[in-house]
Amino acid sequence: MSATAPRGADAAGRDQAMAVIEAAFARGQKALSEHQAKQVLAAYGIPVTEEIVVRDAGELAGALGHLEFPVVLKTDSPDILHKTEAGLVALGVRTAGEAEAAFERISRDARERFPEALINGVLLQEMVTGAVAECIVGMKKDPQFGPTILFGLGGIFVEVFEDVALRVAPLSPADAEEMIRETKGLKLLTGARGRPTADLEAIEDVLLSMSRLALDLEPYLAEIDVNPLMAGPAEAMGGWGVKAVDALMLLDSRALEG
Amino acid sequence: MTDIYEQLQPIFAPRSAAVVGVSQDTWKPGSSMLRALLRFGFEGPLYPVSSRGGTMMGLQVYPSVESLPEAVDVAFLFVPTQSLVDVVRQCKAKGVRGIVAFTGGFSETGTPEGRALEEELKREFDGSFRMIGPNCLGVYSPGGGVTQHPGEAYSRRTGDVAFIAQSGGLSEDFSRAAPNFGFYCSKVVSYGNACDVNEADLLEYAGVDPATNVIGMYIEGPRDGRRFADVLRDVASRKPVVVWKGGVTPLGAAAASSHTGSLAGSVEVWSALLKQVGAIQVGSFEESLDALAAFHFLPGLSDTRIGYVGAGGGNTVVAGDASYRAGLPLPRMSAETQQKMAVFLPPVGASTANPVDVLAPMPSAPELKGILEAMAGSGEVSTIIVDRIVLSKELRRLMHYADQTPVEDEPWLSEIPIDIHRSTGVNVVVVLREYLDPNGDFSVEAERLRLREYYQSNGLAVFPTAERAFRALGHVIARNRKGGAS
Repeated sequence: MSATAPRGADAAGRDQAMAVIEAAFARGQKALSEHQAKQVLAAYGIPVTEEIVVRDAGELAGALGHLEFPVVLKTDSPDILHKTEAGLVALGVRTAGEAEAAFERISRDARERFPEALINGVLLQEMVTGAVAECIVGMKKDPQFGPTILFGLGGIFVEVFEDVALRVAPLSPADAEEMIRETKGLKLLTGARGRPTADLEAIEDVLLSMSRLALDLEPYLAEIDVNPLMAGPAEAMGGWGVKAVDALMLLDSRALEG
Repeated sequence: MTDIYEQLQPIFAPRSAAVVGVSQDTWKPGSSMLRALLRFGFEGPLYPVSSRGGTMMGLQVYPSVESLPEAVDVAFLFVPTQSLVDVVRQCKAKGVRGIVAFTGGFSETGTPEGRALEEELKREFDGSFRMIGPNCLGVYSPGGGVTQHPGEAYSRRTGDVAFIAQSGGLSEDFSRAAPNFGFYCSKVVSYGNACDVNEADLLEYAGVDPATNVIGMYIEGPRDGRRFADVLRDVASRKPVVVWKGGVTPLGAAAASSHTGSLAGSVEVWSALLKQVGAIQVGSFEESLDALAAFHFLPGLSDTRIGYVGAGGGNTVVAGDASYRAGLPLPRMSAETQQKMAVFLPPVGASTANPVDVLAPMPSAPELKGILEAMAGSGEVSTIIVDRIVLSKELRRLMHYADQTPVEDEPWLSEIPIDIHRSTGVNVVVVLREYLDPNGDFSVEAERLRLREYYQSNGLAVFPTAERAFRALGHVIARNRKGGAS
């Protein structure tokens, strides 16, 4: 049913994730850039968008050769956590010319508006199609119980209605299933108003992987937002029932103290 | 048995005990604890300790822990804050196996001195003994002859419900209230600052205690959240654990941190955890007791089909609402069952569908019996809630219903709910409402209490409102349907 990668990470996956995190600490980062965060997610088998960090205009044409239009361009920086609000995202880019213009604009605006920010480049990524709903999957450390995992339908469901399900890690498969079933937005995933049905098992896999990731990397990570996680029928999404389109990971500075 | 069980048995079932810090003023805490233990009926050797020596309440007073003739199983400490660490060291040197430290003045004060003293105390724990407290009201373990301070009037009867409370006052309230709900306690613990034995240890103990079938907890913030979550996950899969979390509003949380110096968790995470591990989340003292009573009386109930028999249109409508809120919508009775019930009901105004409305609260005994028999015999309900029916001849007389119904020749009216349960196996839950008399007539209240005890002692759960009955049954059914059936 689900086309996602194996659940969780093996030792190699954990090492991969740790390499990203250690490099970020070494550079004095307080958060991971979107691309770094996605490398950590991918190390734990969570499907992420195909993407390439483009450092200068000369690399753009080559990078575009690896992706199909339409594409998305975003600034990639650990210091700019809300790219959309800052106008540093271009969606639905359909031609090489549009991509060049977007690259120039985003590079310039990011430097001008965030002169202090560490900027890795512009992230060129596939535009995910075929999803029926945007979800949010998150992690937050509770001072008493440790990592907690959050699931909700994205957009107004989480922002306005606070319609989210929460559990304390580790999650069991039954917990993951229950979390999805208890959100009121469930109907959006199960065919409401003639929509296709999303791959709920793929979402469960993401929740279980997130639980493992959160416990494995607990000392280093303070909070995670995967928002949005696009969800849809696997066959309409290139074989993936889910895909992390944006991700935010805040590092836990206390990890350096010990 | 597990380690924790062996370690805490000297506190819950001590063979010998000392009360350290008795005063010549017999009303002071140490002295009143000694009196409470004597009156409660502690059977082992009991040694008061005070530097003054002499005798007290007919017992020889020993000048120090060291001078005791034996290493007691448990020492109850009522010594000044500054002396507690020293007395704990003396107990340790003597080989005392369990300590209950009532003394306050530690981290709960929020002062640097209090915290420093508590840290000093914590350094004494090396596993050679276990301690409950400080800053607590101790343990009530009727099977072990031990009571709280001040618990000399608690019931001597032992039961199957344990209650673990971070708050002393609530542990006392619980111990006093339990028999009113028809169940008795196996163990009640006020654990105070939990410097050694904490909420997770006590929950683990209750989980393996063969005397305990049902567990209630009042908790503000655990000492070790991760271990508590692990233990709760394990115990809740075997026994019902009803958890009342205090300090769930920003204001409540502020009071919690000054109350016991604990960190209160966020509301959402607590709810998530309790749901996840299959514990029962409640929000008040009454809801705790109601749920525990329901688990005590109806431990295996998982069948959602509830029948309601009440009196009056409004009452039956709101009972239907309450059933729905509790997740137990009432199933409509079949036409056949409705016909059988209709024989015993007034031709106009009554309702047989479920909720069943018998119209007036004083059906005759044959009518009541006929209605309940028809419902219980139908196979369409697992449980019947009987509400607002005046269930004794005496209560009908006191409430001036007697002149509206022939009851003189029906001495068996009160027995009907019990007979129905025994003859059909269908559960019967009785609602006995409070505030029955406009003049606060004590004889009405006395008759209500007599009936309550009568039903409870015959194995029927009794609640003061239908709303609370539905809510409590909802907790039991939800847990048992989730797979944790006992």
